[in-house]
Amino acid sequence: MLILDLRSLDRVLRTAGFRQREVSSDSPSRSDNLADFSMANMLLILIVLAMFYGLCMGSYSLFKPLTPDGASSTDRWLQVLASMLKVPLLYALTILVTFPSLYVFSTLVGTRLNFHAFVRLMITLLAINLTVLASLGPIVAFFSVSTINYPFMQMFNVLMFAIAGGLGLAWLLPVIRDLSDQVLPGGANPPPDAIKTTSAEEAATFAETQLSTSLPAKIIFRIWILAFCMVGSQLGWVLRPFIGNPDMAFTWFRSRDSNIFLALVDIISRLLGH
Amino acid sequence: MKILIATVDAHLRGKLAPGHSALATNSLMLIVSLGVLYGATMGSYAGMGPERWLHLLYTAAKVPLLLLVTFAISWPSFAVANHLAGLGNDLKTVFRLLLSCQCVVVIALASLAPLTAFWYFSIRDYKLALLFNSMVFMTASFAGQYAMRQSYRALIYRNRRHAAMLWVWIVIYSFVGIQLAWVLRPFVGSPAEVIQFFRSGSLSNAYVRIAELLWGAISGG
Repeated sequence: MLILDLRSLDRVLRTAGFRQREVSSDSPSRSDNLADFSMANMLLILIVLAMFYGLCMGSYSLFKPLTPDGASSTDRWLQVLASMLKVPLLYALTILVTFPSLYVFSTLVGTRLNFHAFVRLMITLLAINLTVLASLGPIVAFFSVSTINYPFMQMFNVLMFAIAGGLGLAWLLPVIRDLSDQVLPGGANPPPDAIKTTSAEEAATFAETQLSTSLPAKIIFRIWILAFCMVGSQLGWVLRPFIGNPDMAFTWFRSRDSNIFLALVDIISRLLGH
Repeated sequence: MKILIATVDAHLRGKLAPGHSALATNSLMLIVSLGVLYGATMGSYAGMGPERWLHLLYTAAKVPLLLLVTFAISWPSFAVANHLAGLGNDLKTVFRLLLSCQCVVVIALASLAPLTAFWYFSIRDYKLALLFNSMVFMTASFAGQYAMRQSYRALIYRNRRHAAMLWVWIVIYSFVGIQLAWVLRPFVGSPAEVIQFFRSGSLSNAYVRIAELLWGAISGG
């Protein structure tokens, strides 16, 4: 029996903590925000967190009303199992699809992170994302028990994933600002958000940070964030069912049709009763 | 795996040791292996069943071929142009640098391979698959050009004529590359067509075809 060293997760979250977002002059590099952790242990923790959310998400199928031609009671448990396997799979595949190009293109434009640091950056991003997601799990489970409205549960879960992903990316954005040691000829213009800082000292540190940041690296990270969100949501659609439609029998995967963006419009319109 | 990552990193950062003797073999292996990887992914549009193996094999071979043959055809004229411009002494450095940029192109392609596979999986549309692949190739060639501009900086600093040579290379390379890509069609492989290495009638000319299309649009035919 493996005992998970949860302290490393705690360390990662504390180091990545949002309180450190203010740049201090002695540690201008935000890539220092990556804590040390054992890779295997951390991956295991992440899998457990994802599976926990899967359990909460799939619990809807345990409490949904049985329809004559719909789910049987074994199907209910199979759905829970499927959700527990699929949530980790969803994150793993999203990273697998989007990570190689992020690494190649940002290395090309001269970020100072090496491959190992990139992997740790991704793991930290996932750690924040999945911890938030797992912490929202009990709320999802509570709603699974107390409502039978399927479109509501769909939207609710989409919202949870969006909150978790949004917080992860909110951590990532300031990290991106300091990714490159390439100085642009003539100096980069500091973007308007750099001027918001109040004290002169902070403003100076900001200017310094901005100077050492190359525009291409930032653009590539922004594009990657977009790709990460789109691939993640589409993968969520490809891997469905996660929750288990009460009107359908259990299947491991549904047919490959439509895409998440069209489906969301459809769910919202059904939720609003059209 | 560690060696692969180290090599990839060195190519991307343009930090290959100048006296690296095994560079050519090293680059060649990288271009072939990663090119095969992207080629096979690109050819997987119509599925990977036993009846499509031949097509996968073809496209897997075509991507490295496209890069290497374009390079081989373009190099002699470029080398002569360099000599004429009085830059013959730098030719060895230039060769290494351009070969490394080919590696950057193929690294960029390979890094986008999972995205292509995912695109195929999510969106079943042949035209969109073609469009996506052309975007991928465009992105990869931008990556190659970016790497080239970075590594040419030192040369241009030494002799300003290198800046003009850079443009000569871009023009020759893309002129040859576009036609070769046309000759080597099909890449993605429409599920409706029979599997073949060259598409019938592929020996027509990309530029003539473009001119025809343009003329057709202008004359309303």
